[in-house]
Amino acid sequence: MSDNQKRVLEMLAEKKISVDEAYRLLTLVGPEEEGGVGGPGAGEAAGKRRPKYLRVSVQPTDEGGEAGAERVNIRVPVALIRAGMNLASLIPSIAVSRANEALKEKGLDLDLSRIKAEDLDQLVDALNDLEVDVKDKKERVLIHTE
Amino acid sequence: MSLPPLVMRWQASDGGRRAPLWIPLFLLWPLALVLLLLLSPFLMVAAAVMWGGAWCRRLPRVAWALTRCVCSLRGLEVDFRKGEERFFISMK
Repeated sequence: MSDNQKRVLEMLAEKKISVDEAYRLLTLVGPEEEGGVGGPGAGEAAGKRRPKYLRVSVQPTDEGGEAGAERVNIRVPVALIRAGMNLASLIPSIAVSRANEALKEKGLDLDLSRIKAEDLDQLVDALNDLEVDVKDKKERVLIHTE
Repeated sequence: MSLPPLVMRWQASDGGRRAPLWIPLFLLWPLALVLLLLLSPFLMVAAAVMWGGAWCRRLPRVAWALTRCVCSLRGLEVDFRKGEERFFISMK
């Protein structure tokens, strides 16, 4: 059994995820590597699998769930993120500075002009390891790639 | 680069039952292509007249980037629910 599969089962045992979510994660993790622990290339092969979608979900927790609680489930193709960032690199400098100011007002200190196309591959590969799981009394926020 | 989305499912309900709208995008893309072909002589004349401008030289790259964005929409899903309200959009 791989580490990822063990982690999914641990999360299920701790009731951090539902049975449906555990099943989906197990199918994404894939079948066990041959030889039990996995050969030397198995980890690299699994690591090089490019994510196809970015999933963001906000679900009410069991304690804080109300009838009118918000539920959000968004699946964004990673190709769209890449294409959008390519498009952002073509924004004229005047518009970029105004966009940067608007982002700064919202508390995001980003410089859109510094986003380069060659950095996109690294960013997309880094998304493969992205997993955000934030839980409070009212809701749970999950961000991961699939 | 994948094909553009062929079907869009859209649903916005406010408590009352409302069936999802099914939009056949595979019919819209050929129409858009025909429209583009019909307008192409005018676009070429406009491009030839305004080619000196920097934004005009950037236009083909922007058009290509927009095309890539549209083609990448395939697989996008947004599902928002609050009580009886629901907003759902899916591109396949």
